[in-house]
Amino acid sequence: MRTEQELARLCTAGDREAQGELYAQYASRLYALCYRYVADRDEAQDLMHDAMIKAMDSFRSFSYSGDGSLYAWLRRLTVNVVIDRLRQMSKLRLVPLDQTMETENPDTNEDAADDIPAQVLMDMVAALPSVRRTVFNMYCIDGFNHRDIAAAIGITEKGSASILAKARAQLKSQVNDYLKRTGK
Amino acid sequence: MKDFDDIFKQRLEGYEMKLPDTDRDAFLNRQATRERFARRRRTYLSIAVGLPAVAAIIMALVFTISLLSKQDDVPVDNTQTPAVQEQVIPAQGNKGIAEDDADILVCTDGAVEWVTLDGDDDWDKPIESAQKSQAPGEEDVFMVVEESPEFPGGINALMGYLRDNMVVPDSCWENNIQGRVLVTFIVEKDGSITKPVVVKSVHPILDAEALRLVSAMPKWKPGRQNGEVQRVKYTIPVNFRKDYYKNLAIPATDAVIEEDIMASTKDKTF
Repeated sequence: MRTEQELARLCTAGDREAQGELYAQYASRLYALCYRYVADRDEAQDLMHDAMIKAMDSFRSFSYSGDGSLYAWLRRLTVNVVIDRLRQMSKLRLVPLDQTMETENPDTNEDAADDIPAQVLMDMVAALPSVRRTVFNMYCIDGFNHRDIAAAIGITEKGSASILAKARAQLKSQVNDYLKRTGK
Repeated sequence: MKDFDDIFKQRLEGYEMKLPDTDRDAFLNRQATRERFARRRRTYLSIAVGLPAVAAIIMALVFTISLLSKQDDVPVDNTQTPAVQEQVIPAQGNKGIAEDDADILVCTDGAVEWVTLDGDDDWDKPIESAQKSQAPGEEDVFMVVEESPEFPGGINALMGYLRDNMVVPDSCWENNIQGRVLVTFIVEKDGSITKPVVVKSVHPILDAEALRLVSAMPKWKPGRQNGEVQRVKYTIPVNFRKDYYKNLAIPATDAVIEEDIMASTKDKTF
């Protein structure tokens, strides 16, 4: 089991075994990350490959800073690749917001929700419309703040916050439906 | 609010999704191919830089020697440096392009046209002598020429340009508005693009976008007949398909990093 620095160095040098190990370690997580954003397996696979290739090319700007820093770096790189692709595909075009509609805030049973299988949660996120999905992913799972989300997507911070609220509301209602269907 | 977010965050942050078994090797092979082409390109580059320099030095030496020893019969080395062709590395690993998306150049009825392999056109007709068409009061426009005009970077670059610059509102995909718009235009003698016209329409929004894309194209390498540049009429398909975006080829410059992401985001609090 190689150290993270060693792995990065060997990958850049073209060591196929090291590249294989990088893939074995990180591909499935980065694939899931991409799927969270694009909700399409083929597209997610394509993006994951692009991200790993970009990682190979940019390893020289990776500086190891503790255990897990390689994963954090890969994650950030992958999110950037994904956002660039979404922008390119104009998937982040906003439909004019319905100003009159108040965002609901349904109650959910959080303890029961915690038992929901992760793949089901993934599918719930995948069911969101693309802009809400992007904002939710960036804010709640990948740890961006509204200022950076707004800058990345091309919306205002206020817009980001309100889109997030709608995303949460939609997820809550999905969670409630699921719990009701599975009799909890 | 925080608890709800945490449910998703904690469960999905490090979530792993299963990939097909073949994917790993597919990825490794793709990377190996890229590295091979990057190495090759570096070699050509160093030759392209090195050879002229070496040639210049040799010529200078030869000239000096012949000056100094004018009386003697010094055999001058007349070997010419071979022309170095910096090859355009074709876009490799067109991973996602299904076979029925490969486009070939076709000559039908004197019009130079791009079609997909599953088209009905008989594509094995040889290119006959140059045919011209003439609009009243205008200089000849050729429809078939010996040397076709070319988008900078070639076919793959053209496809890439169309894909990368396509702007289509989401509502089109949602309402199943998609298809192939055929646009005809003229490549002028200086390579500029004029008179874009939609010859096969799909929908006004897509037609307009196809025209915009064609009008905004950079200058082409003009077509030639008998060695002379000529105005050539050209037709290209602009393919608007929802799943088209999945079939993205690796651009030819992929081995070169266009933007060092991490360096540019180092000071930001992402």
